[in-house]
Parts: sequence; C-alpha cells; structure tokens
Amino acid sequence: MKKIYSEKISKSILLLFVQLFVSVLFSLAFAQPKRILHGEVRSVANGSHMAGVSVAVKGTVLNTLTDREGRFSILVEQEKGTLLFSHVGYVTKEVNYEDLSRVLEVSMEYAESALEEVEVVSTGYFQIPKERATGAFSVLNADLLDRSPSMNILERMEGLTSSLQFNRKDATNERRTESEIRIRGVSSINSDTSPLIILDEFPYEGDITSINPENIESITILKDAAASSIWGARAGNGVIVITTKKGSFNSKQKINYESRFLFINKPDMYYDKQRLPSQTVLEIEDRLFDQKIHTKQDRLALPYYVDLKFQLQDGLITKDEFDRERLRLENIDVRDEANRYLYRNGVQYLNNLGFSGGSSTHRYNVNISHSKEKRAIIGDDNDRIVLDFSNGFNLWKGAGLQLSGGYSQQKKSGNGVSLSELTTGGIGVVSTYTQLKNEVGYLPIVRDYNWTYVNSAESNGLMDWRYYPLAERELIDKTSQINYLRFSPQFTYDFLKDWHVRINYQYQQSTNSGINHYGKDSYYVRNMVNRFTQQDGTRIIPHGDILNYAMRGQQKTQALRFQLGYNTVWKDKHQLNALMGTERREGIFENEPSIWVYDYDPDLRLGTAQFDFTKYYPNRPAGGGRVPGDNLGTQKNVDRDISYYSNLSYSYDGRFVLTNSLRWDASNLFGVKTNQKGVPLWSIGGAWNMDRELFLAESIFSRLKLRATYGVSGNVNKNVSAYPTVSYGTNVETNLPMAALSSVGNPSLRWEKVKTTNLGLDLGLDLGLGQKLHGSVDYYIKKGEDLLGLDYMDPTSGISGALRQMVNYANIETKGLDVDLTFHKNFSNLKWTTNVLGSIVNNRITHYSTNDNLKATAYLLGVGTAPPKSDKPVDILYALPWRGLSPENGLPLVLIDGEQSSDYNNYVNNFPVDDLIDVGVTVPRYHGFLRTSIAWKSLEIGGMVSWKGGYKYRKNSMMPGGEYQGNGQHHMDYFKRWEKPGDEKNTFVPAVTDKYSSPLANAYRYAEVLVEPATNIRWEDLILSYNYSILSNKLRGKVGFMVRNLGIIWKQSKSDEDPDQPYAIYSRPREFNINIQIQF
Amino acid sequence: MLSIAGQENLTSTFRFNFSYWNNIRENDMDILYNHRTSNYIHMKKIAYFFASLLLLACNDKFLDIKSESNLVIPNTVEDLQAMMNHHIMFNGVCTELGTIGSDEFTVSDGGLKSLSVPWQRNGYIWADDVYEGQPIADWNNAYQRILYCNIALERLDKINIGKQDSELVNRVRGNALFYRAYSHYLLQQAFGKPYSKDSAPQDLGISLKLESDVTLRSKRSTVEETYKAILADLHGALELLPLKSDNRYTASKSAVFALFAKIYLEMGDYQGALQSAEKCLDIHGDLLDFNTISPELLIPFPRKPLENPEIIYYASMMPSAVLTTAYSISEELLELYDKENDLRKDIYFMTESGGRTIFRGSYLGLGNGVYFVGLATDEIYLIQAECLARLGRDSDARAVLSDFLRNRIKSEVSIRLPEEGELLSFILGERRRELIFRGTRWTDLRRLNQEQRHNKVLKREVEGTVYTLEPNSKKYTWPIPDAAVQFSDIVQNER
Repeated sequence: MKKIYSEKISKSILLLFVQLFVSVLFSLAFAQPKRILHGEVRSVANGSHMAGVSVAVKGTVLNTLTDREGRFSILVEQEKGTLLFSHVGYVTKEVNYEDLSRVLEVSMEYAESALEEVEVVSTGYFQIPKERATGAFSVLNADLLDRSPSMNILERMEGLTSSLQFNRKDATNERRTESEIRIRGVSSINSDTSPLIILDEFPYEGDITSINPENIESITILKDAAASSIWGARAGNGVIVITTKKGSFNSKQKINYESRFLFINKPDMYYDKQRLPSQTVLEIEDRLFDQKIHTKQDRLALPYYVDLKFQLQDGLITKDEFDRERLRLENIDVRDEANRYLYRNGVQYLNNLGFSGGSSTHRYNVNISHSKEKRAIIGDDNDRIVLDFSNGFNLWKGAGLQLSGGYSQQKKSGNGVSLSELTTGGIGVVSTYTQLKNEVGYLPIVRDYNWTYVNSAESNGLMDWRYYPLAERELIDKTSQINYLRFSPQFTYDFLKDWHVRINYQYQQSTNSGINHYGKDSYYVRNMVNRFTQQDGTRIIPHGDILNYAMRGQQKTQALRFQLGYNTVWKDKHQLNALMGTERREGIFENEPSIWVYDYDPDLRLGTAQFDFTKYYPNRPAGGGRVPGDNLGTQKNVDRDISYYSNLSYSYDGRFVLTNSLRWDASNLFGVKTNQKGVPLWSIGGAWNMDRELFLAESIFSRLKLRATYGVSGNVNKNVSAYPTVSYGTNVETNLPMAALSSVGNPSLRWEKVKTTNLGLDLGLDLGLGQKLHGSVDYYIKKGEDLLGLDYMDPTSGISGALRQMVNYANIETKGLDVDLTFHKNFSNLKWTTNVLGSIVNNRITHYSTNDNLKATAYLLGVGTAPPKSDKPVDILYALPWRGLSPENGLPLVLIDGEQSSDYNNYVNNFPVDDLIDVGVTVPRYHGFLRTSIAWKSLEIGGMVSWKGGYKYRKNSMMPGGEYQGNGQHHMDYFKRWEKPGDEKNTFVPAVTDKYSSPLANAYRYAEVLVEPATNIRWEDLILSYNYSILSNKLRGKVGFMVRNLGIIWKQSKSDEDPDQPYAIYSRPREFNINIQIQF
Repeated sequence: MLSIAGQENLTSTFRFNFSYWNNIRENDMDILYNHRTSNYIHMKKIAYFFASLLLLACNDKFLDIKSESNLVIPNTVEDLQAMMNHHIMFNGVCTELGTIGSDEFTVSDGGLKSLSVPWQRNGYIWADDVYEGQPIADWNNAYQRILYCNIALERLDKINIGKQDSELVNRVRGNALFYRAYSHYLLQQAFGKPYSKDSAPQDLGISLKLESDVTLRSKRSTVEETYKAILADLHGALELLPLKSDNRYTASKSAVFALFAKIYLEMGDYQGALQSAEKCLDIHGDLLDFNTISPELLIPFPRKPLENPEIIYYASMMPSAVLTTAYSISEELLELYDKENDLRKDIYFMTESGGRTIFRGSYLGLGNGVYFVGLATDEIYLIQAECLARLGRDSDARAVLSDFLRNRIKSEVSIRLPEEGELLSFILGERRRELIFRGTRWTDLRRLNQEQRHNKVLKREVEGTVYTLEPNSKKYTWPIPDAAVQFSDIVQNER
C-alpha cells in the first residue's frame, strides 16, 4: 500500500519536473535578437514597476509585454520611432525613441476614471494580467466594494459580479442575515457547497465578520476549473480571493479616514402573517376550551386565557372579573408590545483610519477600524475593532520581505429578547394578547409551567416564579467574544533574471468564547432554585448569581509554502510563466470545558461549584434532573493537508495563450485508505486575443478575446469514512465511556470531483462619440461526479436516525451562462456608466442510484430540499395537485385512483410519486443586476436594481385544524377560509375543522395552490456622492449618501410575502447610510 | 537518509546564495546574466533546493495523525465495550406501541387531539394506518441496537485476543449476545405474530439480523426461527456473563435467566419458565419492602439502579408524549387494588390537580414520561408463582405469592390468598397491579388471548365512537414500519 502511495507521489513529482524542465529548455534554446530596445515602465501614481504593459511599435505589428519588473525588450526595425504603451486603467502613452543603447524609462498615468475592469487577476498563488488568463475570473476593486456599507465583506459583493448568488429563502431576518452563497450554482448534494475563501494567499479560517471590508484592495472570484483547480480539493464550489491593502514603494504618506453611519429602520412586526388578531385568537380558544382539549397540569403551560377560563370554571374568579379581563385582552396585540419594548431602529457606526506609503526600500499600510452596532433587537449590541498591518522591505537586489498580519476583536452582547423568543413551553409561540408592560411596570407572561401553579409559588414557600421578559433583559448579561489573529511573513527572491522564489508562512488563530451571567433575581436563577427546591423546602441551588463560561473553542492554523517561479520572454513573442510549489497546512481545533459557578458574588468574584452533579433530584413541578454542571468533555480536531502544485502559462505574441495547472492534494481524512488520501487535480486552458490580430487592428474592437478551459477540482467531506467509526463520549447514566457509531464504513469511498468546462468571450468596443462597451460572456458546464449522498436504507439494517450511510453514487450537472457588460458614455462634463450582470444557472441530478421507492410524503415533507432524484434539479419543489374545495364541507377535493374521496390519510400517504407535480425550483434560475450612475463633475448619482426569476416558493397558510397544534399554527388566511357552500368559488383556504389531522392538513399545505412564483424585480439601492478636493488637491475625499432595500418594484405573485424570504418574520428593513472620506 | 541529505543541501544552498549575492554590486547584474557557467551552477543548486523541499513535504507520517480526537475505528476490546455502554443499549428500549395498545391508561378526547405524533393517536384506537409514513423508534432503535451488537461480535472475532483480555472479551461478547436477543425479543412482541406452538413454524416473526452487513436485504423469519435465534443467543450469553452485573446497566447471568423465564412463559413452557425463574432468583432474589417507602415522596423509588434491590437489568423506554401529558391511569386498573391495604395504590399513583391519575412509581426514579422497562425480581417472582400454579403446585405457588405480597401489603395486615381455582386469576391480576408501564401488558394480552377463560375485549371511546380490540385480533401484531417494507423483502402484517 505504501509503495503504491509513494509511486503516485513520484509520478506527480515527475510531472512537475517535466513541466519545469520544458520551460528551462525553452529559455536556453533561443538566442538574443539583434536590434533591440530595452526599457522600463513605472506607474506615476506610486513609482512601482508595472507588469503586463503592452508595448508596440507604432505602425508595425511588433509588440511585447513588460515583465514582472516592468522591464521590456522589443525588436525594432528602425533606429528611431515611436512606441505605444497601453495598459487598462492607465492613459495610453506614445514615446519616441532615438537611442537604442539607452534604457528607455517610461512612466504611465492612471486614467482619471478607471472605468474598465482591473487588469490584474490574483489567484492567491500568483498574479497575472487578465490578458494572459484563460479562465473565468471576476475582479472587484476597492472602489466597487466601497459601494455597500455592510460590515461583512461577502455581503458587499452582492450585485457586483455575475454568477454569485445570495440565497435567502430560509432567512427569518431575526438575528443575522442567514444567506447561502453560491458561485455558479452547486456542485455537490451533501458536501459543503460554500465557496473557499482565501485571505492574502491562504484559506481563511476565522469568522467572516472579523475581516475589515475597508482595508480590502481587491477581490478576485475564481469561477471555473482553470481558475480554481490551483486551489485543489476544496475549490469545487468556486474560490473568493481577498487581498488586503499593502501600500506601495516610493510613494508619499497617505492618510485615509473614513466614517460611516448606518441607520436601519425598525422592523415591521405585522409583516409575518402567522398571527391572528387577539379577538379572533380568544374566540378560537373559547371553542377549543369547550371541546375540552386542554388538561390542567402543573407542569404544562397553557395559554393565559385558557387558564383564566379554568379559573372561572373552578370558581376562583367571578364572571365579572373574567369578562373584564377578556375585554382587556381583546385590545392587546403582542406585536405592538414588541414594537414598543423589544425592537428599535438599528444603528451602525464605523470609523476607519489608514496610513500608507513607502520609500524605495520600505512600504507600509496600517489600518485601524472600529465599529459599533446596535441591532434592531434591544439588548443586542456588537463592538468590533480590527487592526491590519503590512510592511514590505526590499532587503537587497531581488530580495523582498513582507510582514503582514491583523488582529480583530468582536464583542457581542446578546441580551435582547425577540418576539420569536417569547416562546412558551407547551404552547410554543406566545399568545397574541400578551402584554409586556403597563403603567405600573413590567408584566409577567406565561412561560414554562401552568400559570396558576406559578402564581402560587410564593404561598408554597418558593421564590417568585413569574417570568418578566423585559426585566430579564436587565438581569442577565450574555456576552460572547470572537478574537482573530493573523500573521503572515513572506520572503521573495528574484534571481538570475527570470527566476523567483517565494516562501510564505501563515499563522491564524481564531477564538470564540462566551460568558453568561445570570443575576440572582433573574427568572433563570429563580426557576433553577425553585425547580430544585425539595419537598421539605431545602434548596439545592442557592439563591445567588449564576455564572457560566461557555465552551471556548479555538482554531489554530499554520501553513508553509515554497514556490519557485520562472518567467521569461524570448524573441519578443514568446512568454512563459511557470511556477511550482508545495504547501503544508495544519489546522487544530480545540475546545475547553464549560464551567458553571453558583452563588456567584460579582464583587468578590467568588462562587461555588460544590454540588453532587451526578445526583438526580426530584424537580418541581414534575420529573427530576441533575444540577447543570461543567461540561468536561473536550474535543480536538486536527486537519492536515499536503499539496504539490504547478502552473504553466505560455503566450505567443500576446495573441495565443495556453495555460495548464496541476495539483495533488492529500489530507489526513479519517478512516480512508492511505492510497485514497490524495487526489490529482488539473486543468488546461487556451485563449486567443483576437484584438491583437491584424484583421482587427483598426476595428472598433479594443478587445476581443476567446477563452476555453477544462479542468477537475474537488470537494471535501470529512463526515464519511471507509471503516466503521465510533465517536467517544461519556454516558450520563453510567458515567462510563461510551462510543456511538458514527459510520458503519464504506470501503469504496472516493473524493468528490467537479469537472468544469468554460467557454468565454471578452470584448471591448470603442463605439466612438465617447461611447464604450466592454464585458464578457461565459458559458459553462460543471459536472459533479462521484458525489457522496445519503443512502436511503431499510431501517432494519440499523441505519436510521442520526446514523446515516453515505456513498459515492451521485452525479450532478450544472449549466449556466454569465454575462457582464459595462456601457460607458461621456458627454462633455457628464459621464454615464451602466453595468448589466446576468446569469442563468440550472442544475440537474444526472445520476442517483438509490432506491427511489420513497413515498410521496418524503418528497413533500423534506426540510429544505426534497430527496434527490435522477433527472431533477437539486432545488426542486414538488406539490400535490389541487382540485378546489368541496362545496359541502369546504375541505380539499381529492381523487384516489380517479375516484373522489375524503380518505385524506390514504390519499396523502399512498400518493403515487410519479403523479407529484414538479412545480419548479426554490433557487432563482435567472438573476441579474443593473447598476447605473451618472457623474456630473464631482457629483455622482447612481442606483442598483436586481432581478431574480424562474423560481418558486411554498407559502404559509391556515391549516384546517392547525389551531389544535398550538398558537404557532395561526395564519391570517383564517379570514379567507371557506365558511359556507358557495365560498369555494372565491377561496382556496379550507374550512376550519374540529380536530387536527396531519394528512388533511398536508393535502392542502403541499398542494399546488400554495406554490407561488417568486420572480421579482427589486430596487436595491440609491447612491448620491460628491467628490471634493481642496487645498490644491492636498485634501481629497468623498461624501456619500445611500439608501438600501428600497423594496420590490414588481413581483409576479399577488401574495404578500417577500418572495426572496417567504418565511421571514419581517422583511429586510430599509437602511440609510452616510459616509465621509478624507484623504491627505 | 534522503531527506537528511536534502536538508543539508537546503542550508548550503542558502548559505551559498546569500554570500554570493552580497558580493555582487548592482551594476554587475548584466555580466551575471550572460555568465553561462554560473547559470549552470545555479540550475543545479535550484534543483537540489527543490528536491529537498519536495522530500520534506513527502513525509508520510504528517498525514497519519487522527483528524478527530474522539473518533476512532473500533479496534480494541475497550472500544467495543464502550459501544456496549451506549445509551441506546438501555435507554432506547422502546415498548411504546405495546403500552399504547394495552389497557393501562385512557386518554381524553381533547388529550388525543393534542397529540401530534401519529402512532400515538392512531395506536390508541388500533387504527389501520398507525404510522402515517413516520419512522417508529420501536423498530428503528431495536435494529440499531442489533447493528451495534453485530459489529461488536464481528470485530471481536477479528481482534487478536491476548489472555489477559479474555474476561473482558467474554463480557463484551456476552453483553452483545444478550442485547441482540433482548432486542429481537422486544421486536417480536410488537411486530411478530403471537407465539402459538402449533402455527409457529408458519407464522411470520420478525426479520432476524445476525450480521452487520447493512446491504443485506431484510426478510422475515418464522416465529419459530425467531424464538430459536433468541434462545440461542441467550444460551451463548449465559456462559460468558458474570452472575450479577456490578452496575445493573450491563447484562448478567441473572438477567439472562430472567429473560429466559419471560420467554418460556410466553411460549407456554411453564417447566422451563419455572426453572429459569428459580435460577434467576437463586442468584438475585431480593425484594424491596414497600412498607419502607414513603408515599409522601413525589418520586418514591431511588434513581440509581443499585439502590433498588429488585433491579436485575436496568432499561428505560424513550420519552413519549402520550405517556407524559395526555394519559390518565384507567379506572378499571385502579379498581383492581385493595384500597385499604395495598401499599402500591398510594405509592404508584397520584391524582393531579386537574383530576388526572398519573403513575409516579417507576423504578426509574423519574417522571417525564420515561419508564423503567427492564428486568426486576418482582416480575420473576410472579412468573415463578404463575408457573407453579399452572403446573398444579398450588401450595408452592401460595408460598411464593405470600412471600412476595409481604413486601407489598401493609405489614400489620395478614395476607389472604384466594380460594382454590381462583389462584391463577389472582396471580394474573397481581401481574397487572404490580407491573405498570413495564412493557409487559401487551405481551400478556397476546398470550392470554389464547386461553378462553382469560380473554379480554379492549374498548376505547373517542368522541362517542367505541373502538374495540377483540381477542386474537390481527391487530395484536403491529404493522411493519413503511420504510422497512419499501426497501426490503419484508412482508407487511395484515390488519
């Protein structure tokens, strides 16, 4: 086995060496030309050497490009002449030459408005001019990323590049923006589908919010295999390469200050339709009470009104008192209470200060940012400090050292109580007629146990057992902290003209910790004390503060990379860039035990933990339990990877480009046979810069390039194993070590592979009259093969519940088209720019070999996604047919074998799977953005509109009998329900039933009638900005104003929900942002 | 060897380069570029440099580290023992279906409406479709437990056993065999046809799983094959296990004998059941005198199994909503107690403020709808008494019974046993009074149905409709879960 393994390695090494030697041979085979002009190109802005500048002899087809050092050598026919220098983003320059023996020094100026895309693509391993790239890349520069005020760098990318999708279909908007990010759809079914994030050349292992978006120089999105196979086995879902600001040599010190203020509208609690007015809720509860569906038990929380009815029934209150209370409840709505006491307008402040500059031997960039956030939920605050630094040194000729790193600290307090957190044990959602505060003060609400029981606590010798949600917010202190530290030195060394070595090291450390402090008067403490008060009145838990240190987790990652590169240009026409390298990574995740301190005195900082944590105490009102104690189980995960890689790019005459990358990845994947630990991945690509051809020399095409790539990258799934594996823990019953089966093993386990073909066209058109159009179109096919999938198995095998079996059986194919076009027009002082992004993406499972005898209900009830099926998309949504409501009883009409029936159980549970209606997908098939701006002198106004289409969602509604399932099942559709014969002509909402039957509810809930088309056009934002420059350009800056989430302009469905997030508790609130930039 | 040589080269390359470059002034660069010889020297150095880097990275051991500290391939006897300590071995022993189908409790109409779990609503009225396509723990957990046992048994065979391990090996093997037998037994009580000597060779039992291969297609064995396999496993376990378990969570000879007694009784082999019961009680025959238990306590029995002398093998059922908040102990059952003198009435039951009578006397020492369903001496004494009575040894039966009842009846009262001829009925009544929510009632109903004089028709009234379960009804065998039928050759039970 070992032999096979080392043979594989030697094969990969051999291949790498062959590549390297081929490149060496090339360099030796060609001798120097005769009439040559040498030169060097620098940028005026910062004095740095400019690579990839196109150099052409005017009036001829002779041309070349500058190398990494900005140097060029060009074959000329005449002793004197003119050279043309061009580079995107810079003003094209003509320079006359007279003396061939002198090195020509040329400096280029940055174009006033760098409208065209940034030229340099950064893959994290190397940078190349976009001209020489064959893959599908998108580059976002700092200016673009500045558009959005979001403190999360990923969110800032929304709407800036095609193929990137933010999917919010399951978002509730309550605590954080939960969105799934997809680059070009999906390439896996059960493994991670999130893209790989690279920060300054290494995979990022911290919390995404620990990155300061203000200090980002650029982001490159690697979409196809030529781009991503360089990142190997983790790159199947695309790669986002984030590069921080670095400063430049020979530049003056710049100080950059930026301040942002973001105001977020208070959320609208009435958005969610899953509540009924109090009056209706009381009527429903009257009906349910009369049916005696409630039993009164000490341990069981009943809705407050139901308890009131019991009190009336038991003669504890008079009819008069009851009526008065009912009247009071009718006029309360918990959503008003929430609006008043639980939510507020959110605000965010951000202050950012950066220094950068450099001498000939040193460059630096230091950036510090502080932000404060007050979220919409009162009590939820966030405070973040991020410090980034980067120092570059020219050690000696050719040798450079760069020391960069960062530190970030986030403190979050999570004391807020949201409306959905006012849950009630036994009822679920809090009753609509709940009041939180009145003239007198905070009010208690029903929580864990029976209301009468709770109220009698004090007379039973217990502590006050009532729960006051608003007081609780002040009595507990829950804080969590995220610290992130990064240090990455890099040594570069250029030698022998064409060669360079790079050694990179990186250390990352990310720590999560949390402290929960419960004050002695908090409900949390009182509840614990009361629950554990024994029958004779002795207290097990003392009445004092409780302090809980939550489990602290730490992730440490180290990586070391050696890379050798060879770049050469010969005969002016041939350019070769080759590099090879090796990398090792180790990531260690460890967590520390959680600690509980009872009877804690915050002044003395003393407490106790002297309890018998193994003892079971009878609890009030029922049951028993242990005193919550330290969780001493610790965990340690170690991930190790080794990679070898090489990359080769050859271009001929700037016209033809060939690229190739090769990579071998291995990791300590658990329980995999050694010879399956590694996987070879590769790509090839070609491009033709047609604009360099003579036949297009004088045409309107400033750029025309055809690209094609093909390659293989992968996905990692760490939850599978070739052998049976068990996971250790401690059995709380016996305190003995116990082992749970985590996998029964799968001897034929393989790595998932993603094969991508990409065809692309880049174009630039100079339409005259100051009109320019440029952009790109890409068509791709992504094939995920050997994908791991759940094996639906007979539970008799023992595989059921949490124990699941994964096998490599599935294939998936994603096809798509990405279009990115920018149109630009100048009229004297007016500049108009419009950017259109459009993507089409469709996936289809092409092979799924598991038993597809699943019942129809499995396809309908599936949480999130339906079970995968061959020839269907991953995101498919199924529905039952809809035949309207019965005129007799207002229940859904259903057919079994063509016969009308009321046997819903038989109908739903034996529904033929083939008859399920494939209503569409839950993720947009088409999406696009339109961004436009008009600038007049220094004033700019712009906005963005988004469009998503070709997808569906299943909306909520009133379920017949749903009220028997608790308050959470209410819905405003109650008022549209069938009430009398004839109503079926005007409504599809069924009648109310006198009991709950899940098949009946499902016959409606999953019917086609509740599926809505989600296509919508949305006005995302509006921007107004003014660029100012005073003191003869010494002080420059920008003042900007922005409004976000302006709302839906048009949607296909007439239903009320936001089709992008149909289950949200409230829609994304509108945001107002003001920002001020000062640079001097 | 190679990598050491490589490292030396690495350092020398660096040293060479540094000194070399330091000696060159910037203007000399052009000369250097054209200097072929030095170029070659450098090529060679670079080749060495990279070869050494690659060799450094090729270190095989770097990848051999375990990725997750608490994840292992079960390769040692200790690992397999830890598997046998898992929760599902004794906490997931589900007898929920049988308990729901029996006559120990009633549910009000409103209570029934509040239940969201389909088999609880449907099982209570013995409906045709019980699960509505949902998975059912009574089946799934038992087979997962069997999978653990099969993996443990197979891996034990593979592990090279040293002498010092043999006792531990025996214990693990014995436990695995016991758990497998016990799980098959519980499955048979719910999903296999009731045992009847004449038709057992044809009647459908359960799917026997004696191998861990999850890809094998399941099919049903006959009732006879099922019992044969269960008894074979128990015989195997008997040899390997200690007399008593030191924590009661694991199996022991006494537990094996107790299970033998239950199975033989069910099969109508009263001689075999009697012998097993006696052997069990020889090892472990302690009883808890209820006169020492305070009925004032919210939870009268101790939580730790070692503190209750009656517990032979500790097992509990999964929490069940219907058995937590919706049920009320049936009036008919409460009528069976001697209100004056039977200590169990007050210790076992409590009437809540809402009027519901709940059972608080589980040997688990916990409320929360989780009940003790393991093996305890009280049941074995009752088996012994029943077998003696059935074998015509009435006076022996009376002796056993009065010894037993001395621990259940107020100590100041003398024990009076019924007349001749009514002894067996009295013992069967005693089983009802003693074994509440123990998962035994369903098995007893299935068994006693076959004797006409002990027949009983079960009745439920829900919203004015009366549902009945006739003796020997097909509904005494619960349907096989839908998923199990779909993916296998398992034949569904008729309803």
